[in-house]
Amino acid sequence: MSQGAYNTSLSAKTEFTNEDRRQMLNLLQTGPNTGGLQAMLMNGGPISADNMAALIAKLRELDTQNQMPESLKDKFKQVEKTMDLFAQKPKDNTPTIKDTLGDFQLRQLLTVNGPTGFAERAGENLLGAKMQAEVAGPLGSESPAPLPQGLELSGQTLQFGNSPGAKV
Amino acid sequence: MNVALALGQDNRAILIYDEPLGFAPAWIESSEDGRGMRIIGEEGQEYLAGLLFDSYFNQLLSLNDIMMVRMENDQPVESHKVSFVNQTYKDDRS
Repeated sequence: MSQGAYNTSLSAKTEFTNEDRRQMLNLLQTGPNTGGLQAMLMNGGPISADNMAALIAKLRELDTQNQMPESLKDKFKQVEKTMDLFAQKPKDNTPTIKDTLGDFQLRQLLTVNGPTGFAERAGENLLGAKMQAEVAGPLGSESPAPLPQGLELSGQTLQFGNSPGAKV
Repeated sequence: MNVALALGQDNRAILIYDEPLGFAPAWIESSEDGRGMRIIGEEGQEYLAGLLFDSYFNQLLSLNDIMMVRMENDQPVESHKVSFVNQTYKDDRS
């Protein structure tokens, strides 16, 4: 599970009570090389999912005498569920979009930019419809450059191609 | 960026694209002149999706909104429902 790529709003302060954190700190202090985790636990700032997972793993490792209360263990599980949701969000979103478009009946498929193959593949994968795409404009086979913010354009001044600042 | 437009039987439309825009889309504008079909961001950003031949442009005039769907590895990963604005005002320009 790769969680580092996703932003989360996790922090020790929001996920745990002061009493939880005190117990976690006590437990961390029983292990070697836990200074970084202790600092992360006590400063209350945002914690990446990877670091939160490392914190929980270390606490479980150090809890050899089962000192942690069940309520805290339950919170760990809850935090892990939250991290799973963050990690799986793009994947989970897929059926939702397809469900939304479930009743869409394709009438016409147009290539606005790029090769027709993209439109046809997208039509099939997104809408389950095999249809030949039509090229809808003069730029059907090449990429227009994104426009810089706020630029006023007219038909005479419009430029295409690999102009600088192609990323908006 | 590849951009496709799927037109539905019931006056619905889906703009399908395959790269992150880098901004949150607010609406799509289209005009017959060289400004073409543009995606407008919430903070005024613009992305030219492409130009359309008149015959295709005319099919969009009755649209009120468009669903935007970004594909990644042939699967939908992001969607936005945005307003569609026809920027051609023939009476004013004739």
